Amino acid sequence: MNLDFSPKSLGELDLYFEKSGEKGNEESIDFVKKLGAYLTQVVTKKTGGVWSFPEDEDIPSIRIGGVFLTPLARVLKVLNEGEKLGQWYRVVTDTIPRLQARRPD
Amino acid sequence: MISSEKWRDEQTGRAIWVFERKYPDGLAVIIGDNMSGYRTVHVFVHRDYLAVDDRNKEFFQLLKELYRLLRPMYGNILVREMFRQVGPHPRQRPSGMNLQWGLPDVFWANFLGPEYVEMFGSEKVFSLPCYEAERLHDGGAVFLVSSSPFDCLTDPQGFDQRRLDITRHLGAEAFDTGYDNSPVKVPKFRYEEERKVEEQRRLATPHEKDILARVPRKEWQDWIENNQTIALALVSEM
Repeated sequence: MNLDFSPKSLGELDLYFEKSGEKGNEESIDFVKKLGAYLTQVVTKKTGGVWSFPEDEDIPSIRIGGVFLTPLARVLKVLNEGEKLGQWYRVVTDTIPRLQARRPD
Repeated sequence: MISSEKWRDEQTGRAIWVFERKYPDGLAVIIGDNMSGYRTVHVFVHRDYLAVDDRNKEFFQLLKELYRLLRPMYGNILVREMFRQVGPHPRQRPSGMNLQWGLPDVFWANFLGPEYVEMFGSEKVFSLPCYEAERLHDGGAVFLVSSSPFDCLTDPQGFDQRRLDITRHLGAEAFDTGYDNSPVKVPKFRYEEERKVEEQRRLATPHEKDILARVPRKEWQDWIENNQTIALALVSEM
């Protein structure tokens, strides 16, 4: 598997989870951390998102413009419920910026 | 210092340790689990270091010592350029490593645990069309495709031809094709029963609804600080 921090590599991970059929079995906090870190790196590389981890939050987020996103929570969705990393990436990098662009300042 | 007690007691799927040094020469050692449930040890060395004198031979000796200590089912030494796509179909998986799907490929140095030597047969393993093959202390074997790992850069066609010859000699059915349902020849792995028991134990564990919130805040702060390194650990395991 070519994990080169590209959006395409997220699709390869999705395909891996789809083929292996081991979504729930792979869940462990260390694996969630690793996959969450990888997802964060791919997304921030594209969007320039910055970390957000205020005292009243349990887990770190990334802030992209005015939107706060939690890659770690998304990873749990992927592992437990079969959601797709690639689909989330497209929402983050395409849909959200387009919606934000429509918002009046 | 690695605690052997911690290593023994650590639960499968919960361990990853990263030891990294950037100067004077890049070196990283990553110990942990991969996604298919195998425990893995990766040693990364900057290629400029290995390209000097006979250091690749020294590194090979070091890895043989590591084999003696760890007694793995499989191991290899490679440079990144040796990774290649398995077949032309876009849905085929690039070569990764899950031994249940077959051997990942032929790389520069290839360590085969005793189960592989038994599966292929000693005669076949030690008559490989390779540069050098050696029997290991536990009945396993190691073979080199050529004299240097950098031959894949200086003579890529020749190196690939040797890889192909070796693959054919061992039988292509023992290698991961990237297809889901292709028949794969795999040995009876010595840790298989242990893995099944561990997997069943993990499945029987009640689902933790919010495992993220139970992680101490300090751990998340460390996760942020080392985010790129942790992401690279995933890269190395897949």
